[in-house]
Amino acid sequence: MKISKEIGLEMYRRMVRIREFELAANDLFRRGQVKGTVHPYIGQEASGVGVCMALRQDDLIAGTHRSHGHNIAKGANTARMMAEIMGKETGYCKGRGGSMHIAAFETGSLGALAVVGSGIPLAVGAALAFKMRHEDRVAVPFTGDAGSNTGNWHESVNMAAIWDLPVVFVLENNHYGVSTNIRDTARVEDLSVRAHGYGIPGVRVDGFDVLAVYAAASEAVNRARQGEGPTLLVTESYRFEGHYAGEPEVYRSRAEVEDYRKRDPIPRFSNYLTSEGLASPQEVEAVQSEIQQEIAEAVEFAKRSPEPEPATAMEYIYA
Amino acid sequence: MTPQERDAVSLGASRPTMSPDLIVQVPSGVTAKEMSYQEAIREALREEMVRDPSVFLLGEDIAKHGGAFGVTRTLFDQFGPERVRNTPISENTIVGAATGAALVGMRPVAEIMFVDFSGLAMDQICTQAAKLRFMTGGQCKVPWVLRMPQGGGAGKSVAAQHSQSLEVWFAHIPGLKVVHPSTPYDAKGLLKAAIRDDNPVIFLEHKFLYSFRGLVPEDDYVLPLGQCEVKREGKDVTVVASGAMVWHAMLAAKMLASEGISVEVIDVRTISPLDELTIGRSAQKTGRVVLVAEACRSYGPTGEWGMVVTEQAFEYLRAPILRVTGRDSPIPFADSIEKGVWPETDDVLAAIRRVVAW
Amino acid sequence: MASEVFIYKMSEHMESAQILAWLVREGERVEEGQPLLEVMTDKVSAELASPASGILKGIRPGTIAGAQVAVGEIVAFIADPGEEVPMLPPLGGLDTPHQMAGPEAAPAEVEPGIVRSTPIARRIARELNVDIARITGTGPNGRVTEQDVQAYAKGRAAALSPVELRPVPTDPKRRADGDVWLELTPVQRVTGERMRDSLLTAPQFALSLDVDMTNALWLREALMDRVAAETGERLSVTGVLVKVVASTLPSHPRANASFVDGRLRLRSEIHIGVALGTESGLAVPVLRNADRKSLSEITRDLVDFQRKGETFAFAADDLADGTFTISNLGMHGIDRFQAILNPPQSAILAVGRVVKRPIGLPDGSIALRPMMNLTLTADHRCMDGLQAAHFLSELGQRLERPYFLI
Repeated sequence: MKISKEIGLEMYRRMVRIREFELAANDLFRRGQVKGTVHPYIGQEASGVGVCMALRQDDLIAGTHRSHGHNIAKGANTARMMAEIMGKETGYCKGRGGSMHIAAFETGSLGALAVVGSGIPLAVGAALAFKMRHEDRVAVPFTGDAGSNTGNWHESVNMAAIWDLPVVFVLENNHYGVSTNIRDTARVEDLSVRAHGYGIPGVRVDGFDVLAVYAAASEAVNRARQGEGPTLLVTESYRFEGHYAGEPEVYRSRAEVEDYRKRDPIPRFSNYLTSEGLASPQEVEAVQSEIQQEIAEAVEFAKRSPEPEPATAMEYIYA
Repeated sequence: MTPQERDAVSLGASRPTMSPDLIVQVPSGVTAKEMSYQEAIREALREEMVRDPSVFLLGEDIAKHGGAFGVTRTLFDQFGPERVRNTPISENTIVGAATGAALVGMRPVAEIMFVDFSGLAMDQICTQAAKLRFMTGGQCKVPWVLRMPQGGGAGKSVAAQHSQSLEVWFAHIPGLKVVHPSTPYDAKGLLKAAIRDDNPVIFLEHKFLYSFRGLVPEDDYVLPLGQCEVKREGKDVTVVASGAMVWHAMLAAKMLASEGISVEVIDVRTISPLDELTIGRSAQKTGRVVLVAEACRSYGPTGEWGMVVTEQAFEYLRAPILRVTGRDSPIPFADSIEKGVWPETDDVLAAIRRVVAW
Repeated sequence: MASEVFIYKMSEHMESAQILAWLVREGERVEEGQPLLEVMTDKVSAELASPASGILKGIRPGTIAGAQVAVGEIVAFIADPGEEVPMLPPLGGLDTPHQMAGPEAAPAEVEPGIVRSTPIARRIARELNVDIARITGTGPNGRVTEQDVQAYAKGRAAALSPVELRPVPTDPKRRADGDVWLELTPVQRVTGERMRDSLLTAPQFALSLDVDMTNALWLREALMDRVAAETGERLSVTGVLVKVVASTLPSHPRANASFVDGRLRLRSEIHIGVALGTESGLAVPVLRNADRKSLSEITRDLVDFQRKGETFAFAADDLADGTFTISNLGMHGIDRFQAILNPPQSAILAVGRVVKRPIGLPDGSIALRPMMNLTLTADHRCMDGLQAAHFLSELGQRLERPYFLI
């Protein structure tokens, strides 16, 4: 697929942004400055960015517990995201949500939801509204391989299918649900065939190849916008870090992880950009420093920000 | 006829029954029509769907079939398949989709056929919809209504999985509102309020009240959520009830009036948020309180109401707070053991007499 | 086969008898004809004999000293060891109404020290500044109702109220003939009326006893330091008296009683009033539960009352509900006097000064001993001369041998 320099650099920028954000979040977590836990998206950047680059601002995504990447890919501000994961008033959710419920509504995100699969019906509902209102917006729920076993997922795919809703079901197959390999929880190796049971097209792409993802996502989004109904898009991925930051990954071998690291989507794409002449190495490096600076400032911003006032503890429960 | 039978008949003849005139709510002078609880709900849906194009219905068999209890009959013909939308058997995603649609500005009214099936959707109701506004720091709101029939009827034998009263499940979750009307007048006014409310509202209908009739104003009216109604004023005893139990309470109150016992009946109407002030004021006035609920005794709504009475009116109490509740049991099928699993009017009478004599 | 012990007719017109005392305890073996109970009927006391030999069982609740029992009523059983006897319902007085469940299984017995009342009764008691523990409940199971509280408060208001007791400055008016007309202070007026009523209604008589205070004074000296260390005050003779009286009264319940509506109310608690002269008049502040107080606590109370007396700053509760009164004019140089009963109490003790007088000793010699007069005034409706004498005499003996105080 041919892309412009502008789009290429933007793709790269977003992937680096996710990577740097996650590294910083990991680091802060290890230093005890982020409460709870974080679920790093490191290694999956091409999947999220490839999909979100195919979306408009007014299209909606719905996330999971691992949705820092999705939100950033959709255009969220890293300072407000960093503030949110540090539980500050200046965060997107005013410190009420934290990492697992991070939601940047203004960028077209329905938020991250921590119960596996729970966000998928929300996207279906949004798509239903779009269709009823004759809007050509698209809803894109993300889930992992494990999430595609939930009732949420199956009911949602079925419902979107019978009503031809403008949904792209993105299934990021990173092969693990916490510690359980997908080969133990699904009988099919190619999860995209599940689409056929519901009468919709299923597509499978290399999740480390941002362009392949972008191409497939664009096609699926287009179908949806044309009113042709939902698509299942499976991106073959892998998370380089544990399920959560600092997890002792006893369920997979170092060798396996190292193997996948060789397929790191970010250097792969920067190589592509420079070798195709879409960008010079300096421009690529400039993006890196720009992002590193941005993240450093985001961390500063978050650290400086105040926590929510105790007197506001009961707000936002009811509208 | 045996003498006992003759007595029973004559007693029955003079004993008041549950007729529409037992509960009169429409002020005189207001043009009103008599209709059933079921019709009143349908009218509320119809009027709100006309008024606001973002209101639409989704649920199982609600379209041409008109719903399992006939509530949505004729709405499909009037509004079409887009706005009166049949779904697959996917309770979880019925609610989830309603939530998603609500997040982007629609006002869906979803239906789950029996409250007993809500278990399949508890994640979407309690963990997602109820909490989205809070978790996102106010970035969104979820203005849906989830209609579910609940409750049992003596001798109707729909048994364990179709007869429960589960209002407390939802009342326990901050972020949800829970409504349970007892009359056609309340059903219509409260459903309209629920649809116009910007929060997720669980609207519990009593399946055996569907046929109960009452006067309903012809003009548009909306009743406030979060407010009890004093359905009958009295000074000796306060009876707090909801749903079908309100009818037993009103009947008992009417019968006791002839014995000189003046009973005040409070219909809770909105289970959550609970109108503690009205309950408290009444308890302070009478000092004697009986709580009546159909749900199981243990951890049922009467526990909450009892604590509210204690918190609001402890120093005014002349007797312990008594409760009349359903039995702690799944609902049996056979008549012989289904009998007595829910409160009857006589149970309410006995409790009121106890509390008066204490 | 158990035999019934019942109140049998002892005279032609006898309809009932009053129980004075059980002579045997539950579970004890008795012989036929052995006295089980002492009862009083028509001014004559008699013993109820056992109808059979065996074990005394199943004593009916309520058949306590003072209870009136009709002829024919069963009060107990004589049975074989191990034999079951029926449980008799409590003897008359309160109707035990049909037990309402709600709070499950409300016990028929009222536990001592716990006041049963409704929340509304408690609130009203608090608002009216009434100690609910003092109110006898008329509700089921002796429950104190809001009506009981209201009635008590009204009754108490009819008695001395703090407002009434506040000293009102009198304004002596001089008239042309030089006589001065004084208005009585409220305290004086009420006291006068009560004393008059007392003399008019209670048939009172007096007994006198001179007590050798050698040992009591010695003991007081010995305990002075301890009390001073604990309270910073001096242990007075009155203090010692309060303690000795309080410890003697339990064996003489008629001296710690009141005559109410034709019945003798034997008080379970001992609240000793000590007469105190103030500028506004006579006050009798009450040491509550004096029998449970130490000498130090008694001393503290007395000093406190003294202090309050200076400005008549007593609370209504300070002056209410005494069961016995001590009046000591010894410090004012009086040898002996007779006090008027403090209604509705059945007895009052007047105390004179300690003076060294010559007395004859058992060995025929004469010695100078510190002697103090005790004069007991008693209500003849509550006790007769002999009973009063027993009390006073034991009081004197305990004062003369006060070592139990240590």
